[in-house]
Amino acid sequence: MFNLWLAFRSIKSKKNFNLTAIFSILGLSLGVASLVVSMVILTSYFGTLKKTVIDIYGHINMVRNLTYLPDKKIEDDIPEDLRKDILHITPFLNASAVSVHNGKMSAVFIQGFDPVTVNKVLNLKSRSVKGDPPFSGKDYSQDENPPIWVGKRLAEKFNLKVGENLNLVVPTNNALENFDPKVQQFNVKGTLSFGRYDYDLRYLITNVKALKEFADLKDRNFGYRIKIKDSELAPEFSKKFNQSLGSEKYWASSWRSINSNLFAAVDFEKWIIFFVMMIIIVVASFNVASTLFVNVLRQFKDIAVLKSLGLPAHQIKRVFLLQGMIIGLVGYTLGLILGFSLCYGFVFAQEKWNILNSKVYKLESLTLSYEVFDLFVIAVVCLLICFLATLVPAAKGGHLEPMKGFGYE
Amino acid sequence: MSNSFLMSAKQITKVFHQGDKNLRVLKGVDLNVHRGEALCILGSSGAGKSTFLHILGTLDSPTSGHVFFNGENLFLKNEKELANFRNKHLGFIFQFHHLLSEFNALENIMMPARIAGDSKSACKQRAEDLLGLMGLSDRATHFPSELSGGEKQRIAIARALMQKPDILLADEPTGNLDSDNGERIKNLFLKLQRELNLTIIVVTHDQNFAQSFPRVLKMKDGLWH
Repeated sequence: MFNLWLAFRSIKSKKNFNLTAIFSILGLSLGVASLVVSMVILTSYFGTLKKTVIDIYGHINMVRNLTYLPDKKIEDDIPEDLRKDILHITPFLNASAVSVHNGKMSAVFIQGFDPVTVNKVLNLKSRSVKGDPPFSGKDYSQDENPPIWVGKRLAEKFNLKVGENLNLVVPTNNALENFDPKVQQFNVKGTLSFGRYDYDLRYLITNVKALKEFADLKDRNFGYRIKIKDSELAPEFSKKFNQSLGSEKYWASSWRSINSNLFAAVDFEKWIIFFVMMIIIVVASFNVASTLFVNVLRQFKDIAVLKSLGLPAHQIKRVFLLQGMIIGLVGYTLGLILGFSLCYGFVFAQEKWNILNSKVYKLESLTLSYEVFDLFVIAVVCLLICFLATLVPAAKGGHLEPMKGFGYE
Repeated sequence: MSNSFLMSAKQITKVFHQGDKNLRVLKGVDLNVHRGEALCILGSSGAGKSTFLHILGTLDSPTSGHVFFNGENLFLKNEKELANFRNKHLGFIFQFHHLLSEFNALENIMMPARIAGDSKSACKQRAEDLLGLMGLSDRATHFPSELSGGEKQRIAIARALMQKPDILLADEPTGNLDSDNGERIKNLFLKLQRELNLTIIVVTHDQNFAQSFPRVLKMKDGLWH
């Protein structure tokens, strides 16, 4: 405690707390801030991307093999040991179609969900932009046309308003093994933001019953979306599903495999960027070292006095190391504040000016999130580098011969 | 070794290397000091008296020779043991007081006890008593920059006395003071020696100052004169 007290007093003394010290702390803060910004933005990007995928696909996406038509429920197909970790299951149906409106045409992907169970697994309601949120409990059974929700970019492209009808065309096979087009009007109940540029341009949502009738799919449910207890275990689960169910029945994929390349790239880039940004902290730590060197030189006389009073060399070293640690801690704290401020600024700028091109990065907006572990690692790295940077000045202070400090007056 | 002496120095030499030249500052100096003795080393500037004092105080090491304290060879101790020895047994007073500018008078006086591991509350009373002994009770929270030269030197003496040392080593303690303050400091030394039975070794070039001491040794060109 005594050494810490000496270190504190030494740092806050007018002699040592000058512009050099302030600049070295600022340099360190900027380094930490850069690292914090990179980690938080990448974590947020990963998190937002993950949420987008989970909101729409759930944790596990199980697609049934077309040849497999069970006469029982999906639950009965799932092995006992995997069932305990499942929270909810909802069936879904996919169909490709062509949408036509106001003389414009676009290929689209329609997904039909079960209104009773869908909200337990997916979070489509939170994606609502205009009109009614999907599957909010409203009854559309008396309407002339079945309800549909469209991606916001498709709505923009077609200049489609809530309440208008949208024509959809699907191929149906006739007895001659040729395709006949089937056309139906759907009533647009709302627009959705799926959080991804390509989804917003191609995805349509309706209920499974309407899609079944329209696409002539009868009793077939193409797949199931599953929510499990821990989303991070989804890849492991999908692997187990596939091993135990066999690919002739279902093919399970986790939220991670929906965009596996992108998720893997973000994970990899995060650590690459971590090491690159860490170099900034290393560079900044040289400033800390030079500040402490100057402090040692300035405090030659004081070190000599303390030695004459009986302070041993190792305690003098400790005082300088503690000074480095204090500078590191202050730099880290300021860097953390600056970093998070920049992150919020970035999110604001993204909302306003779309800095991360949504076409390229597949995200419409970014929700800030961070991992305590990342901040902890940054703190450890920052303090460790400061510790290493102060070793040499501390050793110089510790080994100073008292008479050199007094200058042989 | 002769245990009857509190401190002894045997054949101390000190050579400084300056480029190609060797500067022999001490040329084989002996000294024996009894407990409770007040000794003054008198010499002109460059005589080697301060270097000798610093070697006695283990702030510098001799080129050859030995220093004994209670019969124990000091320079056989390691750095940590020497630091502990200085803290427990020696009190230093320098010409330029050498107070720590970032600490107030009371904190400066407490510093040796804090170094020894005492808490602030444990040593505060003694520091205040010493401040009172120096007649500076109203200066406890003053920083060195707010004190006069004489006051600073008295604070430095209080600091040197904090650990109840066996020996007080003073290097030109009045060299930087006017004659009035110099006189006060001298009288304070003699009073401390009488009342506390303190062993005092003072180095000075001031003959008037030296006259009051019962034992005066003169040094010239690194030898007793």
